Amino acid sequence: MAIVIRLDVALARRKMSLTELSETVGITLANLSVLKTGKAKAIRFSTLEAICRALDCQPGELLEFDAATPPLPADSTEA
Amino acid sequence: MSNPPSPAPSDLERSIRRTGKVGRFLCTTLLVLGVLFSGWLLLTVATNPAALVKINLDEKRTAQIAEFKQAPAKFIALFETKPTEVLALANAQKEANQYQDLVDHPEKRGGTVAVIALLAVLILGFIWLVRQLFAAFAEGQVITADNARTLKRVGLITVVCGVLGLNLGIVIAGLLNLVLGWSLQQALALKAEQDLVI
Repeated sequence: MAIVIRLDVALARRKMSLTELSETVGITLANLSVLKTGKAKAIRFSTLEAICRALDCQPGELLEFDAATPPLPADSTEA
Repeated sequence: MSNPPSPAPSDLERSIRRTGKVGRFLCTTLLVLGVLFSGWLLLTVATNPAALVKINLDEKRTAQIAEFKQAPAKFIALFETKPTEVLALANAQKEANQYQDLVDHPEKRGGTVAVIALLAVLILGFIWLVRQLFAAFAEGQVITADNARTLKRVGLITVVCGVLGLNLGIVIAGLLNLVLGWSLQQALALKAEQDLVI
């Protein structure tokens, strides 16, 4: 996917562990791990808002568009 | 370091596992009996179909049929009170006629053996697949990709049996099973997709 999650960078800047973030945001460690490793297919605005609040950052700091990565096939984006 | 204790299964889970175990046992029993019966039937049709005529028309039934030929009105009256007895007699006569045909025309035995073998394979395959479903239930696995696939296979076999037996009801039941299996597969795919939405 061309959208890259920079959660690890944001966590490193704030010297926060994934477990701490999980406890602050109220999202399971497993789900945050899926997000961090780029396996997630979508992120809810509510989740993004909670992470931004916990890390005191903007969404743009967490998400990045990588134009070099080929786009997903059309059917894999449909629910 | 000791592992944390696994959560106790709920009443529903226990009930599913129990049903699975009972179903698996019944299917295994049916499977063993089915294999033995199919083997015996195939061997008898191929070598001694006269024995099957005797089984269908024992002395009692032969006497009843002779009586029927002499006094049909008595059996018409009997049909009104005990229809199953008369129908069983008619069915036995019909089956006996089919096997008598094999006694009179030995060249037809090969074809009959092939048809019975095909039906036996389909029915035993059906029971085997249902047993797989119950075995999965016994393990506590209900909504899984394997079960959806098995359900579709059960549906396919049912449709084939219905088409071969020219029975529309069985064909529809098989199609319903196919749709159910397909729906389960779609639901699982949606769930997998939903699990990746954080």
